[in-house]
Amino acid sequence: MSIPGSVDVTRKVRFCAAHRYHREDWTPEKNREVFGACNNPYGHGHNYELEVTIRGSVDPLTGMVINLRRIDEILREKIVSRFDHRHINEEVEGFKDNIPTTENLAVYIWNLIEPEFSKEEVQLSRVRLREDSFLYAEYRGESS
Amino acid sequence: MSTVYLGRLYRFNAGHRLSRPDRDPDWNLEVFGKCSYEGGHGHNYDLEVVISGTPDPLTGRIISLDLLDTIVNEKVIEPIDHRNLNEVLETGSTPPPTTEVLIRDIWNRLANSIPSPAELKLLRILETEKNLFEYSGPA
Repeated sequence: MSIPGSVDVTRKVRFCAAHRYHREDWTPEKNREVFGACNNPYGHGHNYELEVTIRGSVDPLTGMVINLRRIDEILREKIVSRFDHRHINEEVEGFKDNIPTTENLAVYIWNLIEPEFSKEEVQLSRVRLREDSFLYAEYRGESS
Repeated sequence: MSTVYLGRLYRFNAGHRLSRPDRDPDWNLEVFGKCSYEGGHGHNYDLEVVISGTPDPLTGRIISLDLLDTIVNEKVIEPIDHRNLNEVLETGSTPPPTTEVLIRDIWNRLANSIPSPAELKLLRILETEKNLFEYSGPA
């Protein structure tokens, strides 16, 4: 049996991390004015929720777009192990000069996992990163 | 007037087991993990039904919510709620009743039942708080 039309599968994982919004090339006043409390020294943290959406046709053998276990492995290996209980500015490669806003993190996460899903021959269609229940950033790749 | 989308949330509970009888137990355990355990298990499913249409100038609505509830209850909730998906899905157990298979089955039950000019636009099923499935038809 083939299943016409593609199905979107979204998996959610969580990690906790600290960050700080700060530009060295700005004065303390300018940093404070633009970034507000997010500029406080030493940083602060969030319980992040990452929702990753995979689009694909349904395999008639398994009834699945992709095995959720494989999504979990990719997310654990590429994302959770890198970010969980870390200070993003200090401990995650690529954020010395790249402010770890939710927007930048969503793009960064896309770039890390997109090649992995390509290898699985499914399409990453959306990365949604929730910083808290009031804010999320979403990225669908360069072509969107 | 332009198109408006309306989403309505329904809940049902059902059992399932992911396993292919034409494969051996090791293969099933490897592919489906705990979902292949012999006795099956169940979920509380959240089903979001999204209808699109143009608001009726008389009522300001694209569809009567009472009517939508009646349709969804009759076509989906009654036949599926508190049942075993391996038994009730039109697709039977080949492939097994994953949520990908379930969502397409529900689409087929609903798609032709929504009174024109409103139409079924999207289905969303939350199997657990961590797994979401979306389907917008066989286009």
